[in-house]
Amino acid sequence: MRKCVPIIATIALLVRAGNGAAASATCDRACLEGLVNRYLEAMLARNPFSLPLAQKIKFTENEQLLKLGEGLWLTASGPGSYRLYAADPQAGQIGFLGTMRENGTPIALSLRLKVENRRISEVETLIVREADSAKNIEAMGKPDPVFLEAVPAAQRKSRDELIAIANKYYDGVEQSKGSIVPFDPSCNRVQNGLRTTNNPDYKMPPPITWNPLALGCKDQLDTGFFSFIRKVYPRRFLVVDEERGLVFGSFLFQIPGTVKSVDVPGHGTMPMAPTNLSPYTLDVVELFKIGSGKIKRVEALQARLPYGTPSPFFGDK
Amino acid sequence: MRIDFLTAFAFGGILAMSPVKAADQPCDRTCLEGFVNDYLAALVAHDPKRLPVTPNVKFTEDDVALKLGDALWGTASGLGKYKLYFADPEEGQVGFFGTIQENGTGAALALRLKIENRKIGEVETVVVRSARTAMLMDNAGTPDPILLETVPAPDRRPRAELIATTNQYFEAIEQGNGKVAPFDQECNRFENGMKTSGTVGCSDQLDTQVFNYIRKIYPRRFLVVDQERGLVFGFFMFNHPGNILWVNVPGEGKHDMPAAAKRPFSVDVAEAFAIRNGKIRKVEALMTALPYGAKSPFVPVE
Repeated sequence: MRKCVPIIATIALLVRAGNGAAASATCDRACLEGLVNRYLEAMLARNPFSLPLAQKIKFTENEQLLKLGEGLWLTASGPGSYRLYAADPQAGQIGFLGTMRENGTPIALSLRLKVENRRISEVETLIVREADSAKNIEAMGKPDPVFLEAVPAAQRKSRDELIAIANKYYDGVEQSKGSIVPFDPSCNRVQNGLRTTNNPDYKMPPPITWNPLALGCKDQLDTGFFSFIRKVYPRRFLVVDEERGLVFGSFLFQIPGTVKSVDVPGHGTMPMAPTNLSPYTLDVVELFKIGSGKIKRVEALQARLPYGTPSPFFGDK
Repeated sequence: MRIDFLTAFAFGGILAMSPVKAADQPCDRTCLEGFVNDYLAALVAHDPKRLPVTPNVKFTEDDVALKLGDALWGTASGLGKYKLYFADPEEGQVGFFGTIQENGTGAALALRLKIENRKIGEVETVVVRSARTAMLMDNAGTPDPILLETVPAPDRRPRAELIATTNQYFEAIEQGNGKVAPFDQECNRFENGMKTSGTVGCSDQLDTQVFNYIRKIYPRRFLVVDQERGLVFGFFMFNHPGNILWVNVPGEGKHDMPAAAKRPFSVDVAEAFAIRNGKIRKVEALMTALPYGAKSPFVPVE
């Protein structure tokens, strides 16, 4: 009997250690993407408790703190066809841009999960409830393959470098200066399913009589067209996918509505769109593809919020 | 010399005392409305510094806490014609509905000021950025006279009763039952400048169940009680989870909800009620849609 006790205890310890090892093992790309897929399925089943959840879970939809199970959880009605992931096994974070159906209407959503010990502890979502956005995104078919390509190991940049490069983009927006941003000549940007660079066929709404969307990433910033965005803050770089050269985060564009016109070289004084003459905050979830130290692609989902809306995640460690 | 000195001292004392005395006096209807007018003038001048404010003045626009001077303070470009005030000297609160111009485009403004010792301690605003709303209100010109008339002193109701009567309105919406609220037969409702009580009237409209997509009206903040005029004004958060896809309209059958109601959203409703003889005679509201679950910074975190 006396010998049995240590043997049983040892087995128990081994079993416990085994479980612990599995739980604390890094959640790799496949594991993280699997959790996103399970999250989307759980939403459609209206069952948040089918997910591996941490004891404390923080959930937001469009910067509002809600209980997991509220918001889109009550209205999601079907899957969409577009799925683009950025995985950060080191930080236990995954970002996702995709589409779904909400009571039958197409919507676009961005999702960020923070995973600790293989359990979800943070869920941050932005829902774009404009059917055109989701339709345009789905019309693109599959994500641009550039986002899925692995960067050759020798050319990979460090996390800090990738963040610093993405950060320059926002400095460039705030200062209307394309030259301070390391853009690749092939750079393109897609916002809510609309290509907003190198798109000469786009018709701007009146009273705007020129088409800044015809220009490329750098030249467009130089025109001052974005000068109605006074500040991009906070800038939360949350997911760094070193293997693919991706940075994914949440960025609040502060638009006070006080910039009424802009002097565009070659065009003269151009009025701002009426929609930018009122104060609002644009909640932008943005994914950057960085190759050879330059920004090659920007893909964003964005939704308008009351001016000054804070992020409930801002300030968290 | 000594007398002169004392006299001067006494006068100086009175002069020094008088602002304090004034600050201690309750701010009556004229005083409260004056604060609103001063606020609007400062807003259009983009100059918050000209207003007397408490050191910790709290300002919100569409339920976001901001610095006084932000948001509409940067874009207000003129005042409109429509002005409607609700005054509560007892609580030092004043409410206001009016029209404004924002960079040349019409908008409507709901405003609440809390006055403490003749200084502004709280500023709560909801801005309805709809030129159509502003046009409808300005076309109406002056408010419905029912919102301006004085209730004869013997007919005035206690504050708690006015609030309780108003509260039943929200109970009736949540329950989809017009009989829950004491409606006057003449009751009508205007929202964002538009008459929305239809041809059936306030009570019967609720019985149709078409408001069932409003699942919860919370918080309900009754902030300004104008006993003299029988008015209650406050801010009420209408929460729509988006999961009511159809309703059963008695006598008509299944009625599909519009797509706009089949998604989660909240609406901050600044609403004024005229209560006559214990019944709801008139409802007037300005409202703006917010992300689902938006919370007023004036409500303590639960």
